[in-house]
Amino acid sequence: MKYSISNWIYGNEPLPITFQRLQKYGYDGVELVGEPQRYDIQEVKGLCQEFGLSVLSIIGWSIWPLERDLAHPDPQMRQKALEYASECVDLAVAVGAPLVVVIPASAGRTGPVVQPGGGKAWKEAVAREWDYAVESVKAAAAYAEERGVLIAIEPINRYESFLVNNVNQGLRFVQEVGSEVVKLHLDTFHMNIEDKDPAEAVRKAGDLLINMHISDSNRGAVGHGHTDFKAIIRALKEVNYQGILTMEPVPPAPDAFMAISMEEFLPLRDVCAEECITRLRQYYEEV
Amino acid sequence: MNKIGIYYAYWTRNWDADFHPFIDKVAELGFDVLEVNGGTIARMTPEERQSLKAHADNRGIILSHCIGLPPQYDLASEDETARKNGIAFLRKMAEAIGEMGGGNLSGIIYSCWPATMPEGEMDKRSYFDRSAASMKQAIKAAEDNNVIFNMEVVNRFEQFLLNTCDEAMAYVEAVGSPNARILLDTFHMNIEEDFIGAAIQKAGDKLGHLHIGENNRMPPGYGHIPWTEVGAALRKINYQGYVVMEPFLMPGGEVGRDIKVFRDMSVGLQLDEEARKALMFIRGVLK
Repeated sequence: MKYSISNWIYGNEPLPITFQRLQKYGYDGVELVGEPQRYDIQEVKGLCQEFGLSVLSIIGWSIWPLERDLAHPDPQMRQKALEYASECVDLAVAVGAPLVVVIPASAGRTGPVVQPGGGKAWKEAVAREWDYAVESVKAAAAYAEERGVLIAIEPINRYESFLVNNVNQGLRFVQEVGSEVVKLHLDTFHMNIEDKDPAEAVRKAGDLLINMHISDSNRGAVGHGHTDFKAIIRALKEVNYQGILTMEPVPPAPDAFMAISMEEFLPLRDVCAEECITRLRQYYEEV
Repeated sequence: MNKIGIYYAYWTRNWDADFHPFIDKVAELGFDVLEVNGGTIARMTPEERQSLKAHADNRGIILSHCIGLPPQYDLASEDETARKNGIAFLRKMAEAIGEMGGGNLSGIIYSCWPATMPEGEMDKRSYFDRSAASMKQAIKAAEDNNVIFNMEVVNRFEQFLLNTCDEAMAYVEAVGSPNARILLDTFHMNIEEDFIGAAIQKAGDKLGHLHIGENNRMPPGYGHIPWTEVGAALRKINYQGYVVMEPFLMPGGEVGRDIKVFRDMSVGLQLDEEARKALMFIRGVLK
Protein backbone atom coordinates (compact mmCIF):
# COMPACT_ATOMS: atom_id res chain seq x y z
CA MET A 1 0.00 0.00 0.00
CA LYS A 2 1.32 3.40 -0.95
CA TYR A 3 0.06 6.85 -0.01
CA SER A 4 0.12 9.59 -2.60
CA ILE A 5 -1.47 12.94 -3.45
CA SER A 6 -2.57 14.16 -6.84
CA ASN A 7 -0.83 17.47 -7.52
CA TRP A 8 -3.65 18.93 -9.64
CA ILE A 9 -5.25 19.97 -6.35
CA TYR A 10 -2.35 22.35 -5.82
CA GLY A 11 -2.90 24.37 -9.00
CA ASN A 12 0.37 25.87 -10.17
CA GLU A 13 2.27 25.30 -6.95
CA PRO A 14 6.00 24.80 -7.59
CA LEU A 15 6.94 21.13 -7.27
CA PRO A 16 9.52 21.58 -4.48
CA ILE A 17 6.80 22.91 -2.16
CA THR A 18 4.53 19.98 -3.00
CA PHE A 19 7.31 17.46 -2.44
CA GLN A 20 8.25 19.05 0.84
CA ARG A 21 4.66 18.82 2.08
CA LEU A 22 4.33 15.18 1.03
CA GLN A 23 7.55 14.24 2.75
CA LYS A 24 6.59 16.11 5.88
CA TYR A 25 3.36 14.16 6.33
CA GLY A 26 4.78 10.77 5.46
CA TYR A 27 3.62 10.16 1.92
CA ASP A 28 5.30 7.65 -0.37
CA GLY A 29 4.87 9.57 -3.56
CA VAL A 30 2.92 11.88 -5.80
CA GLU A 31 0.50 11.70 -8.71
CA LEU A 32 1.45 14.22 -11.36
CA VAL A 33 -1.15 15.94 -13.48
CA GLY A 34 -0.63 14.87 -17.09
CA GLU A 35 0.77 18.08 -18.50
CA PRO A 36 4.03 16.77 -19.98
CA GLN A 37 5.21 20.24 -21.05
CA ARG A 38 5.01 21.50 -17.50
CA TYR A 39 7.74 19.35 -16.05
CA ASP A 40 11.50 19.39 -16.18
CA ILE A 41 12.24 15.66 -15.95
CA GLN A 42 15.62 16.19 -14.32
CA GLU A 43 14.02 18.43 -11.71
CA VAL A 44 11.35 15.83 -10.95
CA LYS A 45 13.93 13.08 -10.62
CA GLY A 46 16.11 15.27 -8.43
CA LEU A 47 13.17 16.12 -6.16
CA CYS A 48 12.24 12.44 -5.85
CA GLN A 49 15.75 11.70 -4.70
CA GLU A 50 15.99 14.69 -2.41
CA PHE A 51 12.70 13.99 -0.63
CA GLY A 52 12.69 10.22 -0.85
CA LEU A 53 9.46 10.15 -2.87
CA SER A 54 8.37 8.49 -6.11
CA VAL A 55 6.05 9.54 -8.88
CA LEU A 56 3.44 6.83 -8.45
CA SER A 57 1.02 7.78 -11.22
CA ILE A 58 0.16 10.28 -13.94
CA ILE A 59 -3.41 11.55 -14.13
CA GLY A 60 -4.48 12.03 -17.75
CA TRP A 61 -5.85 15.56 -17.86
CA SER A 62 -8.62 15.21 -20.41
CA ILE A 63 -10.83 18.18 -19.69
CA TRP A 64 -13.48 19.05 -22.25
CA PRO A 65 -13.02 20.66 -24.73
CA LEU A 66 -9.26 20.11 -24.94
CA GLU A 67 -8.27 17.87 -27.84
CA ARG A 68 -7.80 14.94 -25.49
CA ASP A 69 -11.08 13.13 -25.88
CA LEU A 70 -10.60 9.44 -26.62
CA ALA A 71 -14.32 8.96 -27.32
CA HIS A 72 -14.78 11.84 -29.77
CA PRO A 73 -16.60 10.83 -32.98
CA ASP A 74 -14.13 12.79 -35.11
CA PRO A 75 -11.20 10.46 -35.94
CA GLN A 76 -8.77 13.40 -36.04
CA MET A 77 -9.75 14.40 -32.53
CA ARG A 78 -9.28 10.83 -31.35
CA GLN A 79 -5.89 10.71 -33.02
CA LYS A 80 -4.85 13.84 -31.11
CA ALA A 81 -6.24 12.34 -27.90
CA LEU A 82 -4.23 9.20 -28.53
CA GLU A 83 -1.09 11.25 -29.08
CA TYR A 84 -1.78 12.96 -25.78
CA ALA A 85 -2.25 9.61 -24.01
CA SER A 86 1.05 8.47 -25.49
CA GLU A 87 2.75 11.62 -24.17
CA CYS A 88 1.41 10.78 -20.72
CA VAL A 89 2.87 7.29 -21.07
CA ASP A 90 6.20 8.84 -22.11
CA LEU A 91 6.05 11.11 -19.06
CA ALA A 92 5.39 8.07 -16.87
CA VAL A 93 8.41 6.31 -18.33
CA ALA A 94 10.61 9.38 -17.92
CA VAL A 95 9.77 9.86 -14.24
CA GLY A 96 9.48 6.16 -13.43
CA ALA A 97 5.72 6.12 -12.73
CA PRO A 98 4.10 2.69 -13.15
CA LEU A 99 0.69 3.87 -14.33
CA VAL A 100 -1.38 6.46 -16.14
CA VAL A 101 -5.00 7.15 -15.12
CA VAL A 102 -7.27 7.53 -18.14
CA ILE A 103 -10.79 8.96 -18.25
CA PRO A 104 -12.34 7.40 -21.36
CA ALA A 105 -14.28 10.51 -22.46
CA SER A 106 -13.26 14.05 -21.50
CA ALA A 107 -14.18 15.16 -18.01
CA GLY A 108 -16.86 17.82 -18.25
CA ARG A 109 -18.54 16.38 -21.32
CA THR A 110 -22.00 15.28 -20.25
CA GLY A 111 -23.43 13.94 -23.46
CA PRO A 112 -22.53 12.61 -26.90
CA VAL A 113 -20.87 15.21 -29.15
CA VAL A 114 -23.78 15.00 -31.53
CA GLN A 115 -26.86 15.13 -29.33
CA PRO A 116 -29.76 13.44 -31.01
CA GLY A 117 -33.22 13.61 -29.46
CA GLY A 118 -34.42 11.08 -26.98
CA GLY A 119 -34.59 7.36 -26.69
CA LYS A 120 -32.99 5.04 -29.19
CA ALA A 121 -30.94 7.57 -31.18
CA TRP A 122 -29.43 8.88 -27.97
CA LYS A 123 -28.50 5.41 -26.77
CA GLU A 124 -26.93 4.62 -30.16
CA ALA A 125 -24.83 7.79 -30.04
CA VAL A 126 -23.57 6.85 -26.57
CA ALA A 127 -22.84 3.29 -27.71
CA ARG A 128 -20.85 4.58 -30.72
CA GLU A 129 -18.70 6.81 -28.54
CA TRP A 130 -18.22 3.98 -26.07
CA ASP A 131 -16.84 1.85 -28.93
CA TYR A 132 -14.58 4.70 -30.08
CA ALA A 133 -13.23 5.01 -26.55
CA VAL A 134 -12.59 1.27 -26.32
CA GLU A 135 -10.68 1.37 -29.63
CA SER A 136 -8.66 4.40 -28.52
CA VAL A 137 -7.72 2.82 -25.22
CA LYS A 138 -6.73 -0.39 -27.02
CA ALA A 139 -4.28 1.65 -29.09
CA ALA A 140 -3.00 3.52 -26.04
CA ALA A 141 -2.61 0.20 -24.24
CA ALA A 142 -0.45 -1.21 -27.04
CA TYR A 143 1.81 1.84 -26.70
CA ALA A 144 1.90 1.56 -22.91
CA GLU A 145 2.52 -2.17 -22.91
CA GLU A 146 5.66 -1.79 -25.02
CA ARG A 147 6.94 0.64 -22.41
CA GLY A 148 5.92 -1.32 -19.34
CA VAL A 149 3.30 1.17 -18.18
CA LEU A 150 -0.20 0.34 -16.88
CA ILE A 151 -3.39 2.21 -17.70
CA ALA A 152 -6.08 2.65 -15.05
CA ILE A 153 -9.59 3.51 -16.27
CA GLU A 154 -11.36 5.99 -14.00
CA PRO A 155 -15.17 6.04 -13.75
CA ILE A 156 -16.38 9.52 -12.80
CA ASN A 157 -19.77 10.84 -11.74
CA ARG A 158 -22.60 11.83 -14.08
CA TYR A 159 -21.99 15.54 -13.74
CA GLU A 160 -18.48 15.17 -15.10
CA SER A 161 -18.92 12.51 -17.77
CA PHE A 162 -21.66 10.63 -19.56
CA LEU A 163 -19.64 7.56 -20.53
CA VAL A 164 -18.24 5.54 -17.64
CA ASN A 165 -19.86 6.45 -14.32
CA ASN A 166 -19.64 3.47 -11.99
CA VAL A 167 -17.73 0.31 -11.22
CA ASN A 168 -19.87 -1.95 -13.39
CA GLN A 169 -19.35 0.24 -16.42
CA GLY A 170 -15.65 0.56 -15.60
CA LEU A 171 -15.24 -3.20 -15.42
CA ARG A 172 -17.15 -3.69 -18.65
CA PHE A 173 -14.94 -1.11 -20.33
CA VAL A 174 -11.75 -2.78 -19.09
CA GLN A 175 -13.06 -6.14 -20.24
CA GLU A 176 -13.90 -4.84 -23.72
CA VAL A 177 -10.44 -3.34 -24.09
CA GLY A 178 -9.08 -6.74 -23.11
CA SER A 179 -5.46 -5.74 -22.53
CA GLU A 180 -3.15 -7.06 -19.85
CA VAL A 181 -2.07 -3.54 -18.99
CA VAL A 182 -5.50 -1.93 -18.70
CA LYS A 183 -6.89 -2.00 -15.16
CA LEU A 184 -9.31 -0.05 -13.03
CA HIS A 185 -9.16 3.07 -10.88
CA LEU A 186 -11.88 3.97 -8.36
CA ASP A 187 -12.59 7.27 -6.67
CA THR A 188 -14.38 7.46 -3.32
CA PHE A 189 -16.07 10.78 -4.18
CA HIS A 190 -17.51 9.50 -7.46
CA MET A 191 -18.49 6.15 -5.94
CA ASN A 192 -20.43 7.96 -3.23
CA ILE A 193 -22.66 9.34 -5.98
CA GLU A 194 -22.83 6.48 -8.45
CA ASP A 195 -22.25 3.18 -6.71
CA LYS A 196 -24.81 1.46 -4.57
CA ASP A 197 -22.15 0.32 -2.14
CA PRO A 198 -18.60 1.67 -2.52
CA ALA A 199 -17.06 -1.14 -0.47
CA GLU A 200 -18.80 -3.69 -2.67
CA ALA A 201 -17.47 -1.82 -5.71
CA VAL A 202 -13.95 -2.32 -4.38
CA ARG A 203 -14.59 -6.04 -3.93
CA LYS A 204 -16.00 -6.25 -7.45
CA ALA A 205 -12.94 -4.54 -8.87
CA GLY A 206 -10.71 -6.96 -6.96
CA ASP A 207 -7.39 -7.68 -8.66
CA LEU A 208 -8.05 -5.14 -11.37
CA LEU A 209 -7.93 -2.22 -8.94
CA ILE A 210 -4.54 -0.46 -9.04
CA ASN A 211 -5.13 3.15 -8.01
CA MET A 212 -7.71 5.04 -5.98
CA HIS A 213 -8.57 8.67 -5.56
CA ILE A 214 -9.52 9.50 -2.02
CA SER A 215 -11.71 12.32 -0.78
CA ASP A 216 -14.74 12.37 1.46
CA SER A 217 -18.38 12.52 0.34
CA ASN A 218 -18.17 16.30 0.00
CA ARG A 219 -14.78 16.07 -1.79
CA GLY A 220 -13.03 17.35 1.32
CA ALA A 221 -10.35 15.65 3.39
CA VAL A 222 -10.97 12.23 4.89
CA GLY A 223 -13.17 12.66 7.96
CA HIS A 224 -15.01 15.76 6.80
CA GLY A 225 -17.97 13.93 5.31
CA HIS A 226 -19.86 10.70 5.76
CA THR A 227 -18.00 8.26 3.52
CA ASP A 228 -17.56 4.97 5.33
CA PHE A 229 -13.80 4.66 4.88
CA LYS A 230 -13.58 1.78 7.29
CA ALA A 231 -15.91 -0.29 5.14
CA ILE A 232 -13.85 0.58 2.07
CA ILE A 233 -10.60 -0.32 3.82
CA ARG A 234 -12.09 -3.59 4.99
CA ALA A 235 -12.88 -4.35 1.35
CA LEU A 236 -9.37 -3.31 0.27
CA LYS A 237 -7.92 -5.70 2.80
CA GLU A 238 -10.21 -8.48 1.59
CA VAL A 239 -8.99 -8.11 -1.99
CA ASN A 240 -5.41 -7.76 -0.71
CA TYR A 241 -5.03 -4.35 -2.33
CA GLN A 242 -1.38 -3.45 -2.86
CA GLY A 243 -1.95 -0.38 -5.01
CA ILE A 244 -1.96 3.34 -4.31
CA LEU A 245 -4.27 5.54 -2.25
CA THR A 246 -4.02 8.92 -3.95
CA MET A 247 -5.53 11.76 -1.94
CA GLU A 248 -7.56 14.30 -3.82
CA PRO A 249 -9.27 16.59 -1.27
CA VAL A 250 -10.43 19.94 -2.62
CA PRO A 251 -11.67 23.10 -0.86
CA PRO A 252 -15.34 23.47 0.07
CA ALA A 253 -16.58 25.55 -2.86
CA PRO A 254 -18.95 24.89 -5.76
CA ASP A 255 -16.19 24.82 -8.38
CA ALA A 256 -13.21 22.74 -7.26
CA PHE A 257 -11.09 23.66 -10.28
CA MET A 258 -11.36 27.31 -9.37
CA ALA A 259 -11.25 26.91 -5.62
CA ILE A 260 -7.91 25.05 -5.56
CA SER A 261 -6.09 28.25 -6.40
CA MET A 262 -8.06 30.65 -4.22
CA GLU A 263 -5.97 32.44 -1.63
CA GLU A 264 -8.36 31.81 1.25
CA PHE A 265 -8.06 28.05 0.81
CA LEU A 266 -4.28 27.80 0.56
CA PRO A 267 -3.82 26.96 4.27
CA LEU A 268 -5.98 23.88 3.68
CA ARG A 269 -3.24 22.28 1.59
CA ASP A 270 -1.17 21.30 4.61
CA VAL A 271 -4.14 20.60 6.85
CA CYS A 272 -5.81 18.25 4.37
CA ALA A 273 -2.60 16.45 3.46
CA GLU A 274 -2.06 15.67 7.12
CA GLU A 275 -5.68 14.75 7.90
CA CYS A 276 -6.03 12.38 4.95
CA ILE A 277 -3.00 10.24 5.68
CA THR A 278 -3.38 10.31 9.45
CA ARG A 279 -6.99 9.18 9.35
CA LEU A 280 -6.54 6.52 6.67
CA ARG A 281 -3.60 5.02 8.54
CA GLN A 282 -5.64 5.00 11.71
CA TYR A 283 -8.57 3.29 9.95
CA TYR A 284 -6.18 0.74 8.48
CA GLU A 285 -5.03 -0.15 11.95
CA GLU A 286 -8.55 -0.25 13.32
CA VAL A 287 -10.26 -2.53 10.81
CA MET B 1 -47.15 9.78 9.36
CA ASN B 2 -46.02 12.26 6.76
CA LYS B 3 -47.82 12.47 3.44
CA ILE B 4 -45.74 10.66 0.87
CA GLY B 5 -45.47 11.59 -2.75
CA ILE B 6 -43.67 10.99 -5.98
CA TYR B 7 -42.56 13.22 -8.83
CA TYR B 8 -44.38 12.68 -12.14
CA ALA B 9 -41.13 12.86 -14.17
CA TYR B 10 -40.14 9.45 -12.82
CA TRP B 11 -42.34 8.16 -15.64
CA THR B 12 -41.80 10.75 -18.36
CA ARG B 13 -39.14 11.65 -20.91
CA ASN B 14 -40.25 15.29 -21.19
CA TRP B 15 -40.87 17.95 -18.57
CA ASP B 16 -44.21 19.06 -19.97
CA ALA B 17 -46.88 16.49 -19.37
CA ASP B 18 -50.58 15.96 -18.86
CA PHE B 19 -50.81 15.34 -15.13
CA HIS B 20 -54.28 13.74 -15.12
CA PRO B 21 -53.14 10.17 -15.79
CA PHE B 22 -50.51 10.48 -13.06
CA ILE B 23 -53.16 11.43 -10.49
CA ASP B 24 -54.86 8.09 -11.12
CA LYS B 25 -51.61 6.21 -11.24
CA VAL B 26 -50.20 7.46 -7.94
CA ALA B 27 -53.57 7.12 -6.23
CA GLU B 28 -53.70 3.48 -7.30
CA LEU B 29 -50.13 2.93 -6.12
CA GLY B 30 -51.10 4.27 -2.69
CA PHE B 31 -49.34 7.66 -2.64
CA ASP B 32 -50.76 10.75 -0.92
CA VAL B 33 -49.02 13.41 -3.00
CA LEU B 34 -48.23 13.93 -6.67
CA GLU B 35 -45.53 16.48 -7.35
CA VAL B 36 -45.99 18.31 -10.62
CA ASN B 37 -44.16 20.94 -12.64
CA GLY B 38 -45.04 24.43 -11.36
CA GLY B 39 -44.31 25.98 -14.74
CA THR B 40 -46.88 23.80 -16.47
CA ILE B 41 -49.46 24.69 -13.82
CA ALA B 42 -48.86 28.41 -14.42
CA ARG B 43 -49.31 27.99 -18.16
CA MET B 44 -52.64 26.18 -17.84
CA THR B 45 -55.95 28.00 -18.17
CA PRO B 46 -57.96 28.52 -14.95
CA GLU B 47 -60.43 25.90 -16.21
CA GLU B 48 -57.65 23.37 -16.74
CA ARG B 49 -56.34 24.04 -13.26
CA GLN B 50 -59.77 23.62 -11.70
CA SER B 51 -60.25 20.37 -13.55
CA LEU B 52 -56.87 19.08 -12.36
CA LYS B 53 -57.58 20.12 -8.80
CA ALA B 54 -61.04 18.51 -8.88
CA HIS B 55 -59.52 15.30 -10.23
CA ALA B 56 -56.87 15.27 -7.50
CA ASP B 57 -59.46 15.96 -4.78
CA ASN B 58 -61.62 13.24 -6.17
CA ARG B 59 -58.78 10.72 -5.89
CA GLY B 60 -57.61 12.04 -2.52
CA ILE B 61 -54.31 13.23 -3.97
CA ILE B 62 -52.53 16.40 -2.84
CA LEU B 63 -50.60 18.30 -5.50
CA SER B 64 -47.21 19.74 -4.72
CA HIS B 65 -45.23 21.86 -7.17
CA CYS B 66 -41.64 22.05 -8.17
CA ILE B 67 -39.51 23.90 -10.72
CA GLY B 68 -35.95 24.79 -11.63
CA LEU B 69 -36.23 28.22 -13.21
CA PRO B 70 -34.70 28.79 -16.66
CA PRO B 71 -31.99 31.49 -17.06
CA GLN B 72 -34.44 34.10 -18.36
CA TYR B 73 -36.14 34.00 -14.93
CA ASP B 74 -32.96 34.02 -12.84
CA LEU B 75 -33.60 35.93 -9.60
CA ALA B 76 -29.85 36.17 -8.95
CA SER B 77 -28.94 37.43 -12.42
CA GLU B 78 -26.93 40.58 -13.00
CA ASP B 79 -29.50 41.37 -15.67
CA GLU B 80 -32.36 43.32 -14.17
CA THR B 81 -34.80 42.15 -16.85
CA ALA B 82 -34.19 38.51 -15.94
CA ARG B 83 -34.76 39.28 -12.27
CA LYS B 84 -37.97 41.16 -13.04
CA ASN B 85 -39.24 38.39 -15.29
CA GLY B 86 -38.34 35.82 -12.65
CA ILE B 87 -40.27 37.68 -9.97
CA ALA B 88 -43.24 37.98 -12.32
CA PHE B 89 -43.13 34.27 -13.13
CA LEU B 90 -42.96 33.30 -9.45
CA ARG B 91 -45.99 35.53 -8.85
CA LYS B 92 -47.80 33.86 -11.71
CA MET B 93 -47.08 30.41 -10.27
CA ALA B 94 -48.07 31.50 -6.77
CA GLU B 95 -51.35 32.88 -8.07
CA ALA B 96 -52.02 29.72 -10.08
CA ILE B 97 -51.39 27.55 -7.03
CA GLY B 98 -53.45 29.95 -4.90
CA GLU B 99 -56.31 29.52 -7.32
CA MET B 100 -56.18 25.79 -6.58
CA GLY B 101 -56.43 26.43 -2.85
CA GLY B 102 -52.77 27.10 -2.11
CA GLY B 103 -49.93 24.74 -1.36
CA ASN B 104 -46.25 24.77 -2.00
CA LEU B 105 -43.80 25.68 -4.72
CA SER B 106 -40.35 24.18 -4.32
CA GLY B 107 -37.15 23.96 -6.27
CA ILE B 108 -34.51 26.25 -7.66
CA ILE B 109 -36.77 29.26 -7.54
CA TYR B 110 -34.05 31.58 -6.20
CA SER B 111 -31.85 31.43 -9.31
CA CYS B 112 -31.77 29.15 -12.35
CA TRP B 113 -31.08 25.52 -13.14
CA PRO B 114 -28.60 24.24 -13.98
CA ALA B 115 -25.98 26.90 -13.31
CA THR B 116 -22.31 27.02 -12.50
CA MET B 117 -20.51 30.02 -11.08
CA PRO B 118 -19.89 32.44 -13.98
CA GLU B 119 -16.35 32.35 -15.36
CA GLY B 120 -13.97 34.54 -13.39
CA GLU B 121 -16.32 35.05 -10.43
CA MET B 122 -14.69 34.23 -7.13
CA ASP B 123 -17.44 35.26 -4.74
CA LYS B 124 -21.10 34.36 -4.85
CA ARG B 125 -22.18 36.97 -2.30
CA SER B 126 -23.52 39.39 -4.91
CA TYR B 127 -25.64 36.61 -6.45
CA PHE B 128 -26.98 35.72 -3.03
CA ASP B 129 -27.86 39.36 -2.26
CA ARG B 130 -29.54 40.00 -5.59
CA SER B 131 -31.51 36.79 -5.28
CA ALA B 132 -32.65 37.50 -1.71
CA ALA B 133 -33.73 41.03 -2.68
CA SER B 134 -35.73 39.67 -5.63
CA MET B 135 -37.24 36.92 -3.49
CA LYS B 136 -38.40 39.47 -0.92
CA GLN B 137 -40.58 40.97 -3.63
CA ALA B 138 -41.74 37.69 -5.15
CA ILE B 139 -42.65 36.05 -1.89
CA LYS B 140 -45.39 38.60 -1.21
CA ALA B 141 -47.38 36.73 -3.84
CA ALA B 142 -46.81 33.53 -1.88
CA GLU B 143 -48.03 35.22 1.31
CA ASP B 144 -51.12 36.53 -0.49
CA ASN B 145 -51.96 33.19 -2.09
CA ASN B 146 -51.42 30.74 0.75
CA VAL B 147 -48.30 29.31 -0.85
CA ILE B 148 -45.04 28.24 0.78
CA PHE B 149 -41.85 28.75 -1.24
CA ASN B 150 -39.28 26.05 -0.49
CA MET B 151 -35.71 26.86 -1.53
CA GLU B 152 -34.09 23.69 -2.82
CA VAL B 153 -30.56 22.95 -1.68
CA VAL B 154 -28.79 21.15 -4.52
CA ASN B 155 -25.31 19.86 -5.18
CA ARG B 156 -22.45 21.92 -6.64
CA PHE B 157 -22.79 20.45 -10.11
CA GLU B 158 -26.36 21.73 -10.50
CA GLN B 159 -26.18 25.15 -8.87
CA PHE B 160 -23.66 27.21 -6.92
CA LEU B 161 -25.81 29.40 -4.69
CA LEU B 162 -27.34 27.13 -2.04
CA ASN B 163 -25.37 23.88 -1.72
CA THR B 164 -25.81 23.26 2.00
CA CYS B 165 -28.53 23.59 4.59
CA ASP B 166 -26.48 26.31 6.33
CA GLU B 167 -26.50 28.43 3.19
CA ALA B 168 -30.23 27.95 2.74
CA MET B 169 -30.86 28.91 6.38
CA ALA B 170 -28.98 32.15 5.83
CA TYR B 171 -30.97 32.76 2.65
CA VAL B 172 -34.35 32.18 4.28
CA GLU B 173 -33.36 34.49 7.08
CA ALA B 174 -32.36 37.17 4.60
CA VAL B 175 -35.71 36.85 2.83
CA GLY B 176 -37.45 37.11 6.18
CA SER B 177 -40.89 35.81 5.27
CA PRO B 178 -42.92 33.17 7.13
CA ASN B 179 -43.61 31.66 3.71
CA ALA B 180 -39.93 31.04 2.95
CA ARG B 181 -38.72 27.56 3.85
CA ILE B 182 -36.17 25.01 2.77
CA LEU B 183 -36.28 21.92 0.61
CA LEU B 184 -33.67 19.30 1.41
CA ASP B 185 -33.01 16.30 -0.82
CA THR B 186 -31.21 13.16 0.32
CA PHE B 187 -29.50 12.76 -3.07
CA HIS B 188 -28.00 16.25 -2.90
CA MET B 189 -27.26 16.06 0.83
CA ASN B 190 -25.25 12.89 0.21
CA ILE B 191 -22.85 14.96 -1.87
CA GLU B 192 -22.76 18.21 0.08
CA GLU B 193 -23.63 17.74 3.73
CA ASP B 194 -21.03 16.48 6.16
CA PHE B 195 -23.75 14.52 7.91
CA ILE B 196 -27.24 14.09 6.52
CA GLY B 197 -29.10 13.71 9.82
CA ALA B 198 -27.34 16.76 11.24
CA ALA B 199 -28.37 18.85 8.24
CA ILE B 200 -32.02 17.88 8.66
CA GLN B 201 -31.88 18.77 12.33
CA LYS B 202 -30.26 22.08 11.56
CA ALA B 203 -33.14 22.96 9.22
CA GLY B 204 -35.58 22.23 12.03
CA ASP B 205 -38.87 24.04 11.60
CA LYS B 206 -37.56 25.76 8.49
CA LEU B 207 -37.72 22.46 6.62
CA GLY B 208 -40.75 22.94 4.40
CA HIS B 209 -40.36 20.03 2.01
CA LEU B 210 -38.25 16.91 1.63
CA HIS B 211 -37.15 15.11 -1.50
CA ILE B 212 -35.84 11.61 -1.17
CA GLY B 213 -33.79 9.47 -3.50
CA GLU B 214 -30.77 7.25 -3.31
CA ASN B 215 -27.18 8.40 -3.82
CA ASN B 216 -27.49 7.40 -7.50
CA ARG B 217 -31.10 8.62 -7.82
CA MET B 218 -32.52 5.11 -7.69
CA PRO B 219 -35.70 4.63 -5.63
CA PRO B 220 -35.12 4.57 -1.85
CA GLY B 221 -33.78 1.18 -0.83
CA TYR B 222 -31.34 0.73 -3.73
CA GLY B 223 -28.33 2.67 -2.48
CA HIS B 224 -26.39 3.74 0.58
CA ILE B 225 -28.39 6.70 1.95
CA PRO B 226 -28.53 6.23 5.75
CA TRP B 227 -32.32 5.97 5.98
CA THR B 228 -32.39 5.20 9.68
CA GLU B 229 -30.47 8.44 10.32
CA VAL B 230 -32.87 10.35 8.03
CA GLY B 231 -35.94 8.94 9.80
CA ALA B 232 -34.55 9.67 13.25
CA ALA B 233 -33.68 13.27 12.32
CA LEU B 234 -37.16 13.89 10.88
CA ARG B 235 -38.77 12.60 14.06
CA LYS B 236 -36.47 14.73 16.17
CA ILE B 237 -37.58 17.93 14.44
CA ASN B 238 -41.17 16.68 14.35
CA TYR B 239 -41.34 17.17 10.59
CA GLN B 240 -44.93 17.23 9.40
CA GLY B 241 -44.37 18.15 5.75
CA TYR B 242 -44.48 16.03 2.62
CA VAL B 243 -41.85 13.47 1.72
CA VAL B 244 -41.61 13.25 -2.06
CA MET B 245 -39.48 10.71 -3.86
CA GLU B 246 -37.78 11.73 -7.04
CA PRO B 247 -36.18 8.66 -8.60
CA PHE B 248 -34.80 8.89 -12.12
CA LEU B 249 -33.91 5.71 -13.96
CA MET B 250 -34.25 6.25 -17.70
CA PRO B 251 -31.58 7.75 -19.95
CA GLY B 252 -32.46 9.91 -22.94
CA GLY B 253 -35.18 12.49 -23.52
CA GLU B 254 -35.26 15.90 -21.87
CA VAL B 255 -35.49 14.41 -18.40
CA GLY B 256 -32.66 11.89 -18.83
CA ARG B 257 -30.47 14.56 -20.38
CA ASP B 258 -31.11 17.23 -17.74
CA ILE B 259 -30.90 14.83 -14.81
CA LYS B 260 -27.83 13.21 -16.37
CA VAL B 261 -28.99 9.64 -16.33
CA PHE B 262 -26.44 8.07 -18.64
CA ARG B 263 -26.97 4.40 -18.00
CA ASP B 264 -30.26 2.61 -18.09
CA MET B 265 -30.94 1.97 -14.43
CA SER B 266 -34.42 0.66 -15.17
CA VAL B 267 -33.14 -2.62 -16.68
CA GLY B 268 -35.12 -5.47 -15.20
CA LEU B 269 -37.26 -3.08 -13.14
CA GLN B 270 -40.93 -2.35 -13.54
CA LEU B 271 -41.44 1.35 -12.75
CA ASP B 272 -44.86 1.12 -11.08
CA GLU B 273 -43.81 -1.83 -8.99
CA GLU B 274 -40.61 -0.07 -7.91
CA ALA B 275 -42.61 3.01 -6.89
CA ARG B 276 -44.91 0.83 -4.81
CA LYS B 277 -41.94 -0.93 -3.17
CA ALA B 278 -40.22 2.38 -2.43
CA LEU B 279 -43.43 3.70 -0.87
CA MET B 280 -43.57 0.71 1.49
CA PHE B 281 -39.88 1.12 2.25
CA ILE B 282 -40.20 4.79 3.10
CA ARG B 283 -43.31 4.25 5.24
CA GLY B 284 -41.11 1.90 7.27
CA VAL B 285 -38.41 4.55 7.58
CA LEU B 286 -40.87 7.18 8.78
CA LYS B 287 -42.66 4.96 11.26
